[in-house]
Amino acid sequence: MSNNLINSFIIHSRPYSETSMIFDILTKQKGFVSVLAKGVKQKKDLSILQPSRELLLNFTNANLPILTKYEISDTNNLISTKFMLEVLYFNELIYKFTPRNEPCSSLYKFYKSYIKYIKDTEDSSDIIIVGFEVLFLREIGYEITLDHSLEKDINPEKYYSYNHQAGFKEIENNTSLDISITGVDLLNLIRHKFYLISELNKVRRINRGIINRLVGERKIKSYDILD
Amino acid sequence: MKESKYLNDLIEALTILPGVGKKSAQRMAYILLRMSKDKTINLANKLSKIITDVSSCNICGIYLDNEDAILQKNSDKHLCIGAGRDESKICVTESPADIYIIENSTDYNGDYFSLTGNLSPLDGRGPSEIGIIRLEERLKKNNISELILATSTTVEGEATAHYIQQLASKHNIKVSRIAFGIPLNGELGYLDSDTISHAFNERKEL
Ligand SMILES: [Zn+2]
Repeated sequence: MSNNLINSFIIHSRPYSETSMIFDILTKQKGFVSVLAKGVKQKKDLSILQPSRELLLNFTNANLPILTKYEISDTNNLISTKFMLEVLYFNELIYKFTPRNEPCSSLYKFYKSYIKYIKDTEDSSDIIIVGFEVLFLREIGYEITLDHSLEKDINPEKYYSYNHQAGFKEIENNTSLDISITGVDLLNLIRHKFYLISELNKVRRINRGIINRLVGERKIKSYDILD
Repeated sequence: MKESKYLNDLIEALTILPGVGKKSAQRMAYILLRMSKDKTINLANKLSKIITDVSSCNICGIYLDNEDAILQKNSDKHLCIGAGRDESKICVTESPADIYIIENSTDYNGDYFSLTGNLSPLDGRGPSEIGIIRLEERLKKNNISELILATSTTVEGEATAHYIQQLASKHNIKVSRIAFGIPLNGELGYLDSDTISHAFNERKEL
C-alpha cells in the first residue's frame, strides 16, 4: 500500500451493506475507478465525500480497492448550488462514457477546470451545458466534425445541418427537417465560443442526438431533469 | 451435516433488514423458532398486513391504512393534518419519515408533501420517479403561498431543491430552504430536534 494521496472527484456513490459505500471516482493518476469505503457511513466526516468536490484519496491496489484515507484538497472548493442539476448531468456523462481503469489525466484536468468555471460564472445554464458536451465529447475522442470542408469555408450567411456520418453540412435553405444552425453559430461552436452562439437550444438538440446515439440503449436519465 | 432449507431461507430473508448481517440473522431465526408459535404467527401476520393493508396518502405521501387512504382519495380536505393548519404552506421532504421528524421537532403549522427520494439520474431517479409530477399537480390545484424545502444537503438533495424551486417559480410560489449549516451529512434522520427546529425557523427564501 502506498501513502500517496491521489487527486480525485467522486462521480457517483452507492451504498454497500449497511455501513459501507462504493464510490466511483475520477482520478488524476489512475483514471475512472471504483473504491470501497468500509464503515464510512458511521464516520462523522462522511459529508466531505460529496460528488464533484476535489478530494485527496488513498486506496489499496486490489480488484476492488479499499479507501484508506480521504481529505479535502482545498477547503474553498465547494461547488455552487446554482448548477447542481447540470453537475448531475455531467457526472452521468462521465460515468457512462469514461472507460474504467485507464489513465485519463486530460479528462481529469478538463473536469476540474470546468467545475471551477461553473462555480464563479455568470453564464447561463445553456452555455454551461453546451460547453461541457462539446469539450467532453472531444475528450473522449468524439470531435464535432465538418463535411470535408475547412473552417474557412464556412459561410456565415448560410445554414448548416448535422448528419451523423458527415458532420455539419451546408444546406440550400432553412426548410430541411434536420436541425440546422447558422454559419455564424457553427463558427462559434467550432471555436468553442459558446457564449456567442445565438441559438443554443438548437445546438443542445444536436448534441443530445450525438450523445443519445453514442450511449445507445443505456439512455441518459438526466434529460428527464434538464427538459 | 443436514440443514433445514426453510430455516436457511429465513436467515437469508432477514439479512435485507438494515444492520442485520448473516450472524444476527441466524440468531434471530433461532429465537423465532424457539418462541411460542403464537408470537411468531403474529409477527408473520403483521408483516403481510403492511403489504396488503397499507398504502400512501395521495396528497402528502405518508403511509396510511387502506381505509384511510381511500377516505382521503374521496375527500376534498387533507385528512392527515389536523384542523386549523395553514394549508397554503407545504413542506417538501425526501421521505414520509422526515415529515414526522419535522412535525415532532418544530412548531410548523402548515401542510406536507413527501417525495420518494431525491433526484439521482445515475440511480434511475428522475422527476417522475420521485413524485415531483404529483407535487406539481398539487401546486396547480391549490392556493399555495410558500413551499419549504427540507430535502437533504447532499448534491442530490440540493439538485432536487433547485429543480423544485424552478418549478415553483413557474407557478409564482415563494420558496424557502431550511437552513442547514454547511457542510453537513444533511439527512434529517441524523440530526437532533434542536438543530432541526433551528434549521426550520431560520429557513431562507430562495
Ligand atoms: Zn396526507
